[in-house]
Amino acid sequence: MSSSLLPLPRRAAHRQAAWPLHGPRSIFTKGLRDSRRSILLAGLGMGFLTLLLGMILSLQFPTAADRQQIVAEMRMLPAAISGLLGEPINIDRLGGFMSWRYGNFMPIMFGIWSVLALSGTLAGEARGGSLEVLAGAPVSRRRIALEKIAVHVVALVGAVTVIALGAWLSGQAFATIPADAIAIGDALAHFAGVALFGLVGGALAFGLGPILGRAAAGGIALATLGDAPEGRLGVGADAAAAPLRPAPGRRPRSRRLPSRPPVRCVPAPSFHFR
Amino acid sequence: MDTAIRTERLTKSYGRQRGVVELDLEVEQGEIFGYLGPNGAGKTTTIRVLLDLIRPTSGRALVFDIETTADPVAIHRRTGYLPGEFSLYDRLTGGETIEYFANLRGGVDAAYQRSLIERLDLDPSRRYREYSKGNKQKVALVIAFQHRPDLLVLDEPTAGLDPLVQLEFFTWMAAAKRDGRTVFLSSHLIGEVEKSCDRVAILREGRLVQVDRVEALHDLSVHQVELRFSGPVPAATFAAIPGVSHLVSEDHILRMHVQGPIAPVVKAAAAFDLVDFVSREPTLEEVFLAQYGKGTIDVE
Repeated sequence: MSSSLLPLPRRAAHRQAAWPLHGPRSIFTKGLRDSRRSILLAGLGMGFLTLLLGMILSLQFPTAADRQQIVAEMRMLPAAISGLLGEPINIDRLGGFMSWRYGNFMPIMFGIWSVLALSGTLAGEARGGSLEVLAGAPVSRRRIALEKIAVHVVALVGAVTVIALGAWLSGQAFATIPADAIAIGDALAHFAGVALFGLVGGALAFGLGPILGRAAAGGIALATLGDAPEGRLGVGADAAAAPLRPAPGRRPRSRRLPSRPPVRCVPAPSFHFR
Repeated sequence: MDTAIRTERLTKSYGRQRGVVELDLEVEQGEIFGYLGPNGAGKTTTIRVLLDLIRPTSGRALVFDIETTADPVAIHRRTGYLPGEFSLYDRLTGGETIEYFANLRGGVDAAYQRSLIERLDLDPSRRYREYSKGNKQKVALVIAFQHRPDLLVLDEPTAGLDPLVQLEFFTWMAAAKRDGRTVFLSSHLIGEVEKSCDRVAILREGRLVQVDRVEALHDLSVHQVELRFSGPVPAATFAAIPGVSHLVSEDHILRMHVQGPIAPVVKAAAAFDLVDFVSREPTLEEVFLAQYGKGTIDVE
């Protein structure tokens, strides 16, 4: 038998499969590759939550009267409790309800994500020792830093897009009153604002990480998240005049609204700091 | 001949901690330059300043006549760097890691890259975290050599490599020298520097104590020898042997330092009833202490 017909030993065959070599083309693409799981999990997780909230509201409080009941109940809560839950603005509509339930923790979640991602990206490489090799490559420090930040910004953009789509879809699928519809632009702007807040803490952690170490930098940055802004979806500057406007071209679902006066909404700025 | 590396009164301190002190160093292009010193002498600090990974406290360093703080990227483009302590990316395979750093340089000669990997007998398909220390060192060696840099800065390059791979590595350095490239080899192993370098600088406590041709190292190569005999032997017989010093006689035991070839001592010992023979190469710290004492030595 000719030796050429013999199969390669397993290890040798495995080695052959490694050629030609493929590796990340840049710091940015390597970062994306490293973060793909967390991007996917964060985006899909939070997107799913928005859908879930929409479904809960439409099932439990389908009519304007039901919604007024929540508003009334919230107004009766002691100040300490309502402060803990966040100010109930426009919670009689899907966007306001969603923001109220999300408003307390989503900026914190984005903040924690940014702090963890950005505190580890340089400090982690410095601690592990790979930064020593990377810094010896013909790439400026500024470019290393920018490409690493760009990875996280892209991750945030991806997550924001998925969550905003979730909110929009929630408005499409679960709206029971006309004001429940959420414009995609509004949703994008809202969640982008929340994500930008998270980036502030992340930037702090990124800058301090290589100097103080990941734990200390992360701790300082996380402490800044205490002042998280409370977002309100669909109550932008023009919301006072047109609270929670329906998405263009969108007709509310056919569920009939009870013949009551339209729900009066509480205008509020898009973001306010407690 | 042009200069590859030049430092002028280069000082780096970490607060009150000493890094290097007023270092004046010149490395010519095309030579293999050994940078020898015990652990903590300031070798890695010097290298990190040369690559602008840290900034000097005073003085300056130039690589290819470019001040390190002025344009480090231009220096890195012509340099291959192997750090003394490093780690790479656990999730990538060895091949992906090598190709990643090749991509950061805008690509390398794939055939040459492959030949380096094959000559080291490195399996590029395995994840970095699965490699032994020696294989991790091989990955870093390929990264340092794969773009045929004009200057190789190697910090303890043979750490973890088995003797056969070390031999292969020395042929790479010889080839680099033949191509007119420069190697800056930092080590704490006299033997490693002795067998591969043209010139050597000796660093101690952050200061240069000697810069000379590598032959000067032979003066430092001292063995500590202990001979145990069954009965008394005349110490004078051994004291007369060239290279023998620090001779101490205790009962039937003779202790001495032997500089240079050890064969005359062995022949002399064989004339008596020798029970045991112990020879130990002293550590670099011991050699330096014996050679230079604790005082500061002027640079030659």
